[in-house]
Amino acid sequence: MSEDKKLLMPDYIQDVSRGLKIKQIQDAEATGETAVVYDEWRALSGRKQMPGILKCFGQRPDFLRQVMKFSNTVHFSEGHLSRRYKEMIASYVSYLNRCPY
Amino acid sequence: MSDAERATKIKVVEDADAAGVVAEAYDYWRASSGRTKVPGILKCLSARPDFLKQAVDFSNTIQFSDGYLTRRHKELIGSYVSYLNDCPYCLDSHAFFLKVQGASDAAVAAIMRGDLDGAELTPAERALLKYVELATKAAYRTTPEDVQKLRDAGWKEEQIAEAVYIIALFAMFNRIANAFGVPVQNYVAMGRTTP
Repeated sequence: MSEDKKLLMPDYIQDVSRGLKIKQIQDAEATGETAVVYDEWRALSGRKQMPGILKCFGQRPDFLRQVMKFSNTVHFSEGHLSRRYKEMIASYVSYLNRCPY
Repeated sequence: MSDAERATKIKVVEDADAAGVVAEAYDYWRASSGRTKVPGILKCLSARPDFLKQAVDFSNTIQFSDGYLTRRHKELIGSYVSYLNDCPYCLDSHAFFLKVQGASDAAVAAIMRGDLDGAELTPAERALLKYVELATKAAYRTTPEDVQKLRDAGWKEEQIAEAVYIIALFAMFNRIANAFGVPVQNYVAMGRTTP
């Protein structure tokens, strides 16, 4: 990471950015039910590359499908709170929990 | 304790007051569990009955069943995370489930006071709970070496991944239970053997 990029990052990034600590199932190596659920996400989102957070769930595609569903229900949509307030809460919680991703 | 003292800090819909989509979500849980009284933790989700039903489903998928980890190991993790997060409601519920899964009274009591030495753990289970502690207190600080200790103790990659899902699941439910202030059921103290 370049020095100027490091300046944009919180100091705890050094702890987090040591690479993957637990194996994820990557897009290219997904087979069976994992590949099916990854395709469902691509179809729903219109995007090609699975986001890193969802690949953490690749070992349990049944659970991954449910995580996608409830995230859409409660986070990625307007509810009693607006989507904008939800993103404000999520950003601040992520700051407090030291989660740069 | 009076009803006022037991009231949650944030309002929930009680069984008797449930109507429409909330009643339907409560019935969905009753059908899934075979029980009648909706637990306090689920009533916290009554503001979003659609989310409540999904929470019933994903909890059954990942917690209330054997997976890469056994149900017993999941209850061990859930109890210890709830102890670490100071969540008396979840600690009591899941220490109770741990007992139902075959843990001794002494082991359950030890987990409830965070005493890993008294919890009758195998070396592999102890390594797992030491990792659970690291990931619960500061997941960002865990290292590849911390995870390697789990592999060295015999845990497979899929089991480690599932353990992280359980740790995260309890991080969520502990916060919900404590923010709402769900009253503890004292199942363990009462010596209950069925929920």
